[in-house]
Amino acid sequence: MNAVRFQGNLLFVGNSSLPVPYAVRDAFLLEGMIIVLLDPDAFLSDPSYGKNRRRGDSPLRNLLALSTDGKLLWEAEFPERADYYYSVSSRSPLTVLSFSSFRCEIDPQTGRILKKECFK
Amino acid sequence: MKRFWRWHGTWMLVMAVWGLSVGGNGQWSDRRDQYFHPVIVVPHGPAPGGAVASRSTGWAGDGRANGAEPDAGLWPAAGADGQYRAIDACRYDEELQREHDLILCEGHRVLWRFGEQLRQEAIDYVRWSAAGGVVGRTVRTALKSARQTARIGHDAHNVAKGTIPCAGGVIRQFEQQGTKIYYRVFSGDATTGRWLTSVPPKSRAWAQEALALPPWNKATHIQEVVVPEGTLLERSRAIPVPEWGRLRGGAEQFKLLEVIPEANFGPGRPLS
Repeated sequence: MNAVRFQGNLLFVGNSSLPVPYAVRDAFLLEGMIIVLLDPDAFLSDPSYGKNRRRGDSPLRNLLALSTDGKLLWEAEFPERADYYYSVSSRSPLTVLSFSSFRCEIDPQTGRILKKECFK
Repeated sequence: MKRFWRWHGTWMLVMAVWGLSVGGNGQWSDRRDQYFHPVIVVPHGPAPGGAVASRSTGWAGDGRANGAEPDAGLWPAAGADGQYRAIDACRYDEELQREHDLILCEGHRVLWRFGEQLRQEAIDYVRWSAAGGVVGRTVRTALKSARQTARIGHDAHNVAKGTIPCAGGVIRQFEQQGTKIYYRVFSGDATTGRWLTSVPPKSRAWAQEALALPPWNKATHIQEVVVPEGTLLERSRAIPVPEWGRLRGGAEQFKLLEVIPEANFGPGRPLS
């Protein structure tokens, strides 16, 4: 199994590199997929992102699953509408922490929330 | 506007009742002698020229109308003082009396119609107000029930999905005026979250109880949070959350309704 490395908004899988829209905070392989957590500070500090959000665009879903050839498999569901994930607390089961104060267990096959608990 | 319509309705009701009592039951016609005397004013003393038109009250030279003298004893004597006196002309002229009756009758009819119209409007007003009130109450009740059902359903759904309502008291949304430092307590790796306080909690135990924190938030650390100007917040009070074993609550809390960068959450320091 090839390891996943990242630098800025580039993912390196084996000898190939995959660009992603914003800087990567965490990335790892899980069940043959690349799980990527985009850095929330990277897109929240982007003026064009803020402008698009004010125009009514949906918030960027910053937890993604990619195939090894770079195809987007899913974007993880948020517990609340305006939200972001900021940390992966467990890779298996896949558990992430959200800005809305939830610890969410994510289904690695679909990106849906399986379980969530508020830590306030 | 509401006050105007209430006044309008009351006025119409009063007018309708008055119209009915006065015009509708013939009370005015019964009292026309009392209230509608057509009076003319004659001078005491002989009229100039001494001529009087036939079948009219006339300016009597001797103070009397030509023709019938139905009640000669009631005819006022000419006064020597030149003062005018009011007399009931109808009593001395049948034609005038008939005209008077016709006018009264027509007036009575107009007034009766006016009263009827007012009464009908008042009844309609009352009827539609009552109907509107009933419909309004029914709709309000239905909406309230639907809202409550939806809320209960939503709460049940939230509890099932892991979201437990924890805000009560006066819940007020506002936009942050000027950048301000808020505080947040946490434990473990949960270094970012949307629930804040405007003053630092005094102790870990106080924070856990007063902010009704879940058992897995031990409030071991406190951090400062920079909330930028213009950020939308919701102020409320923590309510007891028995599911988490918190039966007190009561502390003032603030919920970030908009996301702010993670960089705005300062490093945590231990809370005793």
